[in-house]
Parts: sequence; structure tokens; C-alpha cells
Amino acid sequence: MNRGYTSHRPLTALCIGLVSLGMTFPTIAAVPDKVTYDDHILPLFQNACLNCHNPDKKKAGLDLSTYPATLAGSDNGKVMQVGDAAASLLFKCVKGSEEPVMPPKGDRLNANELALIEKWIALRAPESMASKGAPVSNAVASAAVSLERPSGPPPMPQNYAQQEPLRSLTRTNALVALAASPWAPLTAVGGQKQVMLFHSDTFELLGVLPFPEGLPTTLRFSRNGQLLLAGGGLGGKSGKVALWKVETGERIATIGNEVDQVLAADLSPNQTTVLLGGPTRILKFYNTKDGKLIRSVKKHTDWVTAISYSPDGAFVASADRAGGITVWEADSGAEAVTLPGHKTAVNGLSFLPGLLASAGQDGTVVLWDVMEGKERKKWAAHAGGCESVDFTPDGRIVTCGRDKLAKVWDQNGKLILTTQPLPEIALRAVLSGDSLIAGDWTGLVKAFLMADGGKPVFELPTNTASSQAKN
Amino acid sequence: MNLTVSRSLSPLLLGVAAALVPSLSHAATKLDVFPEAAHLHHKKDSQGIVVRITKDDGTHLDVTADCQFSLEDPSKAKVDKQTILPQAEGSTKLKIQWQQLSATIPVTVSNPQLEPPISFRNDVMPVLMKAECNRCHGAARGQDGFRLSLWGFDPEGDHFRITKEFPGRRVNLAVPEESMLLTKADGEAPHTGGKKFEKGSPLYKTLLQWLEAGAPNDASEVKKITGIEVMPTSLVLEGPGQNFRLSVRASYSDGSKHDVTSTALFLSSNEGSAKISPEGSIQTGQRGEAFVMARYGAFTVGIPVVVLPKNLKFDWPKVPERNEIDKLVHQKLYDLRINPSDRCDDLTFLRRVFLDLTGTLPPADRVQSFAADTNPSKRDQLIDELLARPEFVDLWTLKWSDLLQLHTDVVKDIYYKPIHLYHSWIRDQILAGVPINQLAAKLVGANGSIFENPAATFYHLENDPIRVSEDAAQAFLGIRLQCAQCHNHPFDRWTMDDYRGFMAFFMQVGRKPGEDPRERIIYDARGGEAKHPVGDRVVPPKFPGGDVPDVKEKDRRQVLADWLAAPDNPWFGRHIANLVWAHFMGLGIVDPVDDVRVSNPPSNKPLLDHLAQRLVALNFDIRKLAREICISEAYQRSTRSNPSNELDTRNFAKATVRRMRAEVLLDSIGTATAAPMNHLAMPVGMRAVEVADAKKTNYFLTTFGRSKRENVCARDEVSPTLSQALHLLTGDTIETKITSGALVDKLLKEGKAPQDIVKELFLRSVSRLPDDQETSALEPYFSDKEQTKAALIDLQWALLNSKEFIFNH
Repeated sequence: MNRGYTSHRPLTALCIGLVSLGMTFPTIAAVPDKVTYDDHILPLFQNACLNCHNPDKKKAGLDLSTYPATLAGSDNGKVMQVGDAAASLLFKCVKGSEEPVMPPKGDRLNANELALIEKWIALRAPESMASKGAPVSNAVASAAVSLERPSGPPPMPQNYAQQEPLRSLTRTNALVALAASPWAPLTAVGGQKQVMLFHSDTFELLGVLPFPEGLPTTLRFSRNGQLLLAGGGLGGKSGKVALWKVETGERIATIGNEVDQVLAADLSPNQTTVLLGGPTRILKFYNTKDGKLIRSVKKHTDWVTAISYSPDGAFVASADRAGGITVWEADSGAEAVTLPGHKTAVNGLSFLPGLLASAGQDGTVVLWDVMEGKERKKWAAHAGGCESVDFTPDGRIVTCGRDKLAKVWDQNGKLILTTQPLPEIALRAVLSGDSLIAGDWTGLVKAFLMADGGKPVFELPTNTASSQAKN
Repeated sequence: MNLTVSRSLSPLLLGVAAALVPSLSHAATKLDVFPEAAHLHHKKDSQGIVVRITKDDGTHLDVTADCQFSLEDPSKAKVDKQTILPQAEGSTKLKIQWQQLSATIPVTVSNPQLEPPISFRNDVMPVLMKAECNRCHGAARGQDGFRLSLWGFDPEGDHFRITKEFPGRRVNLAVPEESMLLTKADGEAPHTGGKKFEKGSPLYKTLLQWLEAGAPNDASEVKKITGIEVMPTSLVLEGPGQNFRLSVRASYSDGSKHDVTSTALFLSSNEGSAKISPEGSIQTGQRGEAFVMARYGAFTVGIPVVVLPKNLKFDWPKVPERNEIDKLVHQKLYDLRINPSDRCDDLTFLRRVFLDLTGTLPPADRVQSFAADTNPSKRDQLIDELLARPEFVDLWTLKWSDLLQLHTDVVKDIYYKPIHLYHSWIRDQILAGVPINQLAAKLVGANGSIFENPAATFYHLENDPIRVSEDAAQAFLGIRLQCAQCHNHPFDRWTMDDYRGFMAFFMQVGRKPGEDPRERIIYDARGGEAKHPVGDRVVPPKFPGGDVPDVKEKDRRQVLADWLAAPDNPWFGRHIANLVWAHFMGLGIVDPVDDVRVSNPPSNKPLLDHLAQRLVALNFDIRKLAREICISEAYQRSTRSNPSNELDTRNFAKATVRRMRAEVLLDSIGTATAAPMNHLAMPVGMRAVEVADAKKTNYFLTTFGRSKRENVCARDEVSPTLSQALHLLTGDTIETKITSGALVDKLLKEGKAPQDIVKELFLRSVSRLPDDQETSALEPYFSDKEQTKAALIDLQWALLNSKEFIFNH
């Protein structure tokens, strides 16, 4: 047996060689499971890059001839965001999606070489077969937690690289991700593998953030309005959370490596932690700085559908499709209280200090006193199911639901405003300044002015190539 | 003999035949075209054609691919790949020619320009079925968070769950091909259920087309599927390696019929003999039988397929047929190329029919007189005599007592008195010849004091409406609804609605105490509803697989009782007929007898149909049905197999060897030893068969699997165990009976010769005389007079331990 086995191996190798020679069409040879600097990347750099990026020439301050020098980057800073090839300058340049296109002269890298680099960065750029890859260092600054409005002008998108929607489509899909900046007149709308940012007053499209990881299912602005979080992915396949700087549109972190879509996520007000969850039912706390998993918690008995940090950063609440709500101590991850009440799915959560609002498939909105662990107020908000709930910074509550309506309430459950019905189930609604923006199952996103008594004033162009708002 | 020779030669012959004559070795005698007429209703409609040849040995062949098709008017329709496609409005004829045989079918085309919009119910739901999405996701709680209705019984709910239950996840109407509904199924995303179809396949395209159209629900007036037919309806094929394509056609509420072969789901009960491809083509394998099913919409229809070795030589001797039963059994045996075993000898018949009709052994003198009787109709006469015996009544009282679970239970306040009354009541009914449908109706509709109307004890033994309805379904209909309590039945058509609908009949049973603490009064409480566990809605009473009757101002149980007893009840008569058949034949036509379901088809449907018809025609008199079964050749066969039937277990080609049930065995040991009947602290002379209460038992009965009657499927268990064998060998039952009977002593005292006593012992136990070999083997033991008694008692013991005694054969 043994003899037969050893004698077969060279033959197999030969066969494979013949087969690959026999192929006449261009193809990407199989990329190895593990791509390393020593084994794959350095030889590639030697052929294509080291003419200029060597220790002597060090063009643009970049030296690719050693592993530490490659990680150190160029005069402009790091050339790689390890773990995320799409966001890495090095990859963008060799791919030709960003200037300066590299190599500047001679043959560009072929598909196979590009695939190697892409995979190497995705694997966090390991040096050798024995190493695990470079530590991630995301440019996520810690933030001081404050309940006050931050001083200075609130961050708004400035000159994004992407101004137009990435995909021009003739149809829309259910609108499931929508967020309003707590301080700026800015609304983020989830689209097909992208996030669109609209001015909440002029409804102008200000910029587009690519989310190639899939469909964004949840959007959250950071407490100070500086950062935007998107969670999502490919259903049943993969899930990620992305963080961008609102002003520049720069992606500063990509977090999580989930096996299914992220359905709910939020960023802690101090910006050190992302909590995410989804169909796996497991809650995962990630460190934003190094992208590492801090802890995972198995508590929910069904899909995690909603997550919300309290603005003071003390607590974080999570809810599931079976009606369970649990509040956790944000820092320790210890369970603070469970809030029984909803018998069916909880679709949304929103936090004020000490006060949590939940939206239930049972049609109700419940306000919970988190310290007491008790229901403070409960009212029927939307027949057929309440799909989302959101606190405005001034403490009003915006909801929408299966009755196709969006509504604004005070904390006593007193109805302040009801919009005219949307064509289909209203899935998400936010209030940004005077504009109530709501989207429905058909993907239609409409703006209503509070002052206008709930009449639609505008339809946000979420799906066309034109960034021009249409009146 | 002829058969054995040809079988051993057949491999050789087969080789020669295959080399020399590649075509048919039997002449083709008949050509059938399926369907018998083609109707095309719109532009995308099509109708596949299947052409079947019947050879003179009765085997079939699919010759569709070798046929010539010609249309009388080619402007109306065309034929492409054996499929008729519409061209222009009107009608024409299609001629199908195969060698010398031909046939013509009418073809009509209507609305050839019409492109019907995609329908969720009629186009998408069949895909979910064909890809078997709604099998795993059809579990009550769904699968991996996504639920569909099992086998698609709830299209409205399925549409909601796919599109709107969890918006944004399952369908992506902006980029339809990125919908998880597709990516999970085509292997793009990991899927616990694996890849279900290829990207770009017809199933994929149908779903994509629907998503591109915006995943619409149907307008309410969409046509409904009313039934399906699988063509041909039965097949006898040669194997291995023969193919036969099936055609499935669905009928709709608008009167139209459409070819749905490409989206029907196919299943085979025996892949080894008849493998079925997803496209509906049977590929034959080893010799055997299969039930090949097609599932479409809420309907499952199966056809029996027999697979025979190629060029099998087979002689069908003239086997006598006593009645229709024999005809139908033989038809099946002929299809299978199986010869029935010979008729059993008179004494085997005598013992068998005594045990089956009366639960007793034939007395010794009866064995001898029957052997001596030369009347050719002595078997019929014996059957008639035994049917009139009180022991027949006792045996069926026992069977019904098992089914109705007669047992005392101190915890549930069920005392002996009502059980005794209930038992007597059942016996009275059977004695009086009350039709069995009336008996069932009396039980189901029973009201009043259980002392005055013991039938009402049916509702005293079990209070829980869940259990009552499950037990009633299993006992009276042979249906196991249990599964459908929490989820739709995974292997059958029963849904939670069927379950709750049946349960609803039993929700208004009122129970109150009587004057006697052991008494209960059952009444119609006129209140109480069955709630659906999903959504908590009230489910109205509904007959399983049938209508929702009007129960307003009525006793629901009386409504059910009337339905049960009606001659056209689809389940009751068949179930009882099968139950009676199984009693005599040792095996049901549907087996187990209380597990009637689509995926457990009858082994011989025409036979079961016939028995059910007879039971109705005989006014539900089980005595008369028993007579028809007992006089048949099928019943009177030997248990010995012949080469052609030795492997067959399900087609009644030979008699089944059955262990006596516990009570009968105990009674038989008693009669064989002449021991007085005094067991279970019951009155002396009462046989174990006659005991009313299952709680009254002893070690022997328990060991031999007497039903505890604690649930409805607790039949008497006759499978052998080690403790049974050990108990007979070393336990005290036989010992005690031999001692208390003191038969040998008595016969010796009467001055009988040991050889005569041997005969007596044989006749009493195995109902025959010892043969020469046995006689001579015993002879040496009687040379010493001192030893004779001990030797005879040993013989008695040995006989009672023999398989020949313990088994009914």
C-alpha cells in the first residue's frame, strides 16, 4: 500500500502540470490557502516593484524589500489596511483603481498576482508560513463620552471619492438600513452593497460609501456623529461591520468575520467596542482598534435583531426574534437585566440614558426603565407589527410599521404626527431635524416635513445613477 | 420443477439472447399513448408524450423515443423531443407509429398567443416542492430560522414568509439573482440542505422570473389544483437497466389539465428495483416491487412498479380460485412472476382455522374425525361451524378490548366495574352481530352514565382530547395523526389543521361524577374549541382529509359518528377490512395496520379495495368477511415456500407462520394439559382470552407480550424474546399445568397403552398423530415400565416447547 502511494505522487504532479498546460483560456490558478510575504509576495515584489521600492531608492518613502518595511508604509502613511485589501492603498494602486497606478511602466500585474496580493492582505499579511499575520491597527480614535451636543460644526461629508451610486438598478428592494446623524442634517440610507448619504434638508446626495461585503442591514452613527457604522453581509454566507469617518468617507475599520449577515450592530459611545449579532444568535463584542473579538455571549434563543448602546455608554441592549431583550453592562459584558414583555419578535431598540425603547412584532412600543428592569410605558403603535423605533436626541420617538405608517410620539405615548401611508410596509423611519425620512418594503424612501403635517415632500433617489434629487 | 430448471438456465439463456436478439424477445401486442388526449392552453404550455408497449408476457416497454409522430394539421401544433407544443388555435390529431403498431390522440390548442403571468401558487410553489425546500423548512419551527408550510399546504403563509416576514433578507428585488432564496438553493451560499438546483436550471429560472416580476402574490381568483394523475397507472418492467418515463398531469379548478412532469417531485419506495430520476424517469434495477410516487401541490399519487429479471421463464400453473380474493392475489403474484404455495393439508388447516376463528386448539377427537371426513366441502362446513361458536365472539371481544384499551387505572379512578361492563357490552355487540360501523358509531357518539351505557366508557378511559382524538383516529381509521399535533405530518398529508380539526370533534365532551364513585356521566357540553397552536385561532371540526361539516346546534361527536358509519367513509371500511385480513393472514395489506398513509401504500390495492367493498356490501358484518377470507385459497395455503416465493413476504403467496398471542398460548397450554382454567384470580373455567382488564396479568402473559392497552398502538406483541424461550423451558407455567392437569396419570390409570397416550398428547398439542419416525424414536422409553410415566411427562413437556405447538402455521 505504502509503495503504491509514494509512487503515485510524482505521477499526479505530472498530470496536474499537463492539465494546466493544456488550458488555453486565461484563468486564475488556484490561490494557495495561505499566502505569505516570504513565499509568495516577496518574489512577486522582486519582479514588479523592487526596482523603485528598494532600501536605496525608496521611492515615495516606500520600501517593499523587507516585511517590516512593507508594513511601515510610505511617506503618506500605511499602504495596507491589513485584513481589508479593498481599503489598502497598495492593492488599489496595483489594481489600478486608484492613482498612482502601479507599476507605472511595464506590464501590470496579472489576475493571478492580484489575487495573491488580495488574499495576502485579507489574511492580515502573514510574513511566513509560521506567522499569523500583522496585527490590525484601525484608526479608530477613542471618544470622550458626553451627553451634550459636541461643540463646533457637526461632521458632514466633504468631497467623497464616490459621489454616484455604485450600482445603477432599475428596481429597488426593501429598505432595511436607515440612520440619522444625531447632530448633523445627515441621513444614511442602505443600498445594494453601498451606503448613500443624503442631506436631510436639501435631500442632496452627498456621497456614497462602498460596502462590497454585501447588503447593509443596519446603520448607526457614532454618538458624536463623527463615525458611521454599517453592518450587513451576504445572507447565509458572510457578515461584516464597517466603520467610516463621516467627513472624509474613509473606511477606518472592518470588523467581524461572521458566517451569516450581521443583522444588528452598534458602536459604543467611547468608540472602543462594536457589538454585533445576527442569525447565529451569538452576541460578539469586538475591539474596534485591533478588530479582535473581546467576548462572545450565547444568550439569545433566536436571531439577534436589534442592538443599541445607551448614550452614556453604561449599557448595551440586545433583542431577538423570539421577543427576548437583555441589557448588558457595556464594559464588563455582564448581564444587567432581561426585559420580558414581547411575545414575538423585537424589531428595533433605541436607548436614552436609563430608558430603552423597543419595537415589537406584536405592534407595540415599550419604554423600559432599565435601572428598575420594568416596563414604564407600553402602547399599540402599528397594527400588524412595529418595525422600527428611534429616539431623537431631544427625546421624541419615531416609529413605523406594517400599517405602512410612520409616527412620531412623545415619551408618554402621545401621538405627535402620523405620516400619510407609504405604498407598502414601512420598515425604517428616522427624524433628522424637521425631516421625517421613512422607507418601505418596496424600497421607496420618502421625506416628510414635521411642519407639513405628515405629507410627503420628497422621494429620495436611492436607486438611480443620477445623484440629482428629483422633485 | 420446471421452474427450477429454467431459472438455473436463465443466466445462460440471457447471455445468448442478448447477443443474438437485441430487440424484443416477446412480441409486442399493444401500444398505449399517455395521455389519451392533449390540450394546450397557452403559449408556454406543452404536453409530453409517453408511448408504452405491452409485450405478450405482460411486461412493458417505453418506446417513446423510437416512435414516429405525425400531426394531421402541422399548422396547429408541433412535436419536439416527444413533446407537443402549440402553434395555432384549433384542434388536430397526432398519430404515433411504432413498428407495426400505431395510435392516434386528439390535440387541441387554445390561446396560443397568451402568455400567462407567473403565478406564485401554480408556478413557484411547485418549485419549492420539487427542490424539497418545504420538506426541511416545513418543520413546525422551520429550519435555520426559515419556515415554509410542509409540502406547501399554506401558499399564502409561504408567500408572506418568503417576501415580508423578514424584509430584506430572503428576497432582493433590486438584484433578484442575489436573493438568498436563490443563493442558498444554487450553492452560492452555504446551505444546511445542500445545493438544490443549478444556477440557470428551469427551477432557478422560474424563481428568478418571479423575483424579477417583483415577487407578486396571486390574485385571489387564481385557478386551484384539484388533483394529479400519474401515467401509466401501473408498470411491469424488466431489469436491470430499463428506463421508463412517467408523465404527471395536474387538473385545475378551471377544468384545464397541464403537464407538470418537469416540476413534480418523484420518490421511490425501493430505489434498488426502481430508481426514479428528478425528471421522472424510472430506471430498473434488481427484481422487486416499488411504489413510485409523484408529489405536486397537495397531492401525492403513486403507481406500483414490478421489476422482473430479463427473459425470465415462468409457468403459471392452473391454480384454483375460490373467489375474487384469489383472483386479485393471483393477479399480483402473476405480475411478480411468483407461484403460490400449495394448499395446506387438512390437519394444518384444521388447527389454523381453530386458532384464527376461536383462539382455541381443536379437540383431539375432532382432529381424528376431520382427518377421516371425506366430504369435499368439509373445510367450508368447519368454517361455518366455528364462526357460530361463542369463542369467535370472545376472540373479537379481546381484539376490540385491545384497540379500545380496556384497563383499570387506580390513578385515573378507572375501576374494575366499568371495565367489566364495557367488556360485556362489547361482547354483547359482537354476539348480536351489530355491524362494526354501528359499533364504532355507538362508541364515538356515546353519552350517559357509563354504568347504563358502557359505550360511554370510551370517554372515561381517556380525558385528554388530544389523546382521545389520536386514539380514535388510529383505532377507527388506522391513521396516526400524532405527528400532526406539533407539526404537519412529515410522511403524510396530515397537517396541523387536520389534526386540530379532528380534535375539535372531541372538545365538547362533558364528564361529571355519578352517584357511585366508580361511575361517570358523559354528556355533550356544547362548549370548547380546538385552537391552532400557531396563531391560536379556533379550528372548526373537520373530517380528516375531508369536509368541514355543519355542527351548529349538534352534538359534534354524533356528527363524527354518522360520518364514521357512512358506507362511503373513505377510511373506516378499508381499515376494518385490512384489520380482519391481517388477523387471518398474519400481515395487513397495509402494514402495520394502524399506519395508513400515502407513503405506506397497500401491497395490493385492488385487493384492499375489494375487501372494503365487500365489507360495505356485507353490511359491516365481520363474520361474513371472515368467512370470505377463510374459504379463499389464499388463506388455505401451506407455509412452505417454493423457489419463486421464498423471498416474498408481502403478497400472500404462502401462509405466514405466526406465534400464538399470549392469551391464546396460555389457554392452549391449559387445554393441551387438561389443566383446569384457574388463572389471574378469575372464576375457574374463564380463559385468559376472556379477561376484561389488561391490568390482570401474570408473568407468562406479560413475558409473551400481552398488550398493556396503555396506548392504542400497543398491539399484542408476538416477536420472540429470550425470556419467552427460557420461561417455557424452565419456568413454572408448563410445569404447573402438567402437574395440575395430571393427564398422563389419568390416562395410565384408565389403562391406556403408552403408545396410545403418545397419540393423545400429540393430538392435544400439535393436532396431529405422531409420524413413524417419532413413534419409533419414542419406543425405547416404554420398555421399562418404571420409566414410562416420566417419559410421557417429558414428552408432554417437549411437545409444549416445540415450535410446532407455539406457532400457528
